[in-house]
Amino acid sequence: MNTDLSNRVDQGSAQTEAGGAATFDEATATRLLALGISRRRFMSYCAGLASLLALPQAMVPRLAQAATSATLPSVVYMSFQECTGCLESMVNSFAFGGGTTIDNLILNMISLDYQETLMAAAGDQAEDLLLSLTAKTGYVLVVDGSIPADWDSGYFISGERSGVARFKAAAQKAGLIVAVGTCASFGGLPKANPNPTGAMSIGDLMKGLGITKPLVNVSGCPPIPEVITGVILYYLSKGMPQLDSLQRPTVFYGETVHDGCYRMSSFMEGPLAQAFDDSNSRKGKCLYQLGCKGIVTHNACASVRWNQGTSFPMMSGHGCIGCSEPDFWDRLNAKNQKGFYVPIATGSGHSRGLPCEVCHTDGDDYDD
Amino acid sequence: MTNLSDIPVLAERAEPLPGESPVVSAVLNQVMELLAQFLASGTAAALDLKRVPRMDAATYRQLKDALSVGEVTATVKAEVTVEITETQYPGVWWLTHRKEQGAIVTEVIEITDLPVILKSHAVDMRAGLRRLEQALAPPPPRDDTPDRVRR
Ligand code: SF4
Ligand code: SF4
Repeated sequence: MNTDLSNRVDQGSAQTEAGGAATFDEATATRLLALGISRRRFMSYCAGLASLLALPQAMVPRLAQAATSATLPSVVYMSFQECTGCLESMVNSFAFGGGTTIDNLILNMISLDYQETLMAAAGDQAEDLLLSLTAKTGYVLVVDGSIPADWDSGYFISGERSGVARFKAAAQKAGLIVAVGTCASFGGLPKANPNPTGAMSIGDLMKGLGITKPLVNVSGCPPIPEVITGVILYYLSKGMPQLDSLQRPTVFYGETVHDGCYRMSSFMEGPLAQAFDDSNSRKGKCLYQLGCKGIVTHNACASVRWNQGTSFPMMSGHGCIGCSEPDFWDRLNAKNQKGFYVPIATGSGHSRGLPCEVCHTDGDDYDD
Repeated sequence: MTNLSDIPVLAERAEPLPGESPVVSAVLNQVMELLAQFLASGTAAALDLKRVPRMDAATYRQLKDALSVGEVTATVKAEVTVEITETQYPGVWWLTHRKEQGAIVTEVIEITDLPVILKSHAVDMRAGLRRLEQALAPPPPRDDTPDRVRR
């Protein structure tokens, strides 16, 4: 038997506590009852959550406990140079739980205490709230958007303070900083050439300011909703997730979109789609020639999927544009060209020994 | 004294049947070990099918066919639907959690005598008991006796 495979299967199994199956403790069950949520429904929800977070199923009671705990750290969510797409994505998270009760519970559970778009407070009232929340310690600071590096450039001013000053003050006592979206994680669209505002990622800004708090990048334009809340819940129930070299949680960003793409077999053997909506594209053949960046893009689109697990872009016949990777707007592709529809420079048929006609209809490898 | 259960026993399943995916074979071996472990120590376990690598549609079907269906099926209906089926191997349960529209959210193989989701929780039972007591309590005396009777 393939030992490598059996080892990998091992990771997927989980032992519950010795002596029997793990169930919810008294406090969790009581809290669910008080909230009017069926324990079995919530258990099913937590089983899905554990699966999503690649946690063993034995973690289900712990997740439930963390989710229903009355003493959760507060979440302060600050927005900088961004389009609010990340927040829009996040408020749609976990809709697969169905109905409104669990969704509300998730928002209550992560105790979203400050978010300028969602909260009723504005002006001085909002500023006072921000100051009082960040005067305490251990809160989770969620940031979306990039920040102009020059504090006096005049490009981002809110509450009479620059983006740098606002972030620096809010980061001082945070227990964890989560950069949500590609703008916060890597600079994103604001940092794209020619970067008129001098935009910087949160990580780079932290380095510049000497802030050494733990940072998790949840990249994507926007990130998948379940990934955003999943990361926060993981932290609350289990602590810091394992991160890749770009500070992204490997549980969601460990694989490329290509790794889980159902069009993969034709990437390996051809034929490839040559035009959007051509017969090969409709038959589910690979979109590599049409500029798909799935091969170099680490994200959970193919596994977690979008719109409550419905589908991911390749299922609609459009390639990945690489939104969860640094500088995806300015990526240089084949022949040093930029563009979402230009094939990437790596993984070409040549490099994989495919016959010319797989990628080129006329059988030679020149683009006519 | 050494108990029988202290002696490590590794039961090897036969080589995969012709045409059987190595993934199916690996999962079945895993299930076999976990079942033996449950019998020896009472330690329940669960295997998340989403975390089994290379589980394509054909492999999934093979695995489902290999485990087949046993004597017990139950359904939890609590806005989401959870279908619980004991496989042909007693103590090996196949759980399918579905969201409202019917799509599968999570699938788990549990190795235990009874999946926890089926058991009632003491907290819920106490709340149920209170409701039952209220339902059976004699109605409070009503003060609507006609005047002529009272006189
Ligand atoms: S469509 Fe994109 S992600 Fe899918 S197999 Fe082709 S290159 Fe990979
Ligand atoms: S498929 Fe690619 S571009 Fe689309 S959301 Fe996923 S990572 Fe971003």
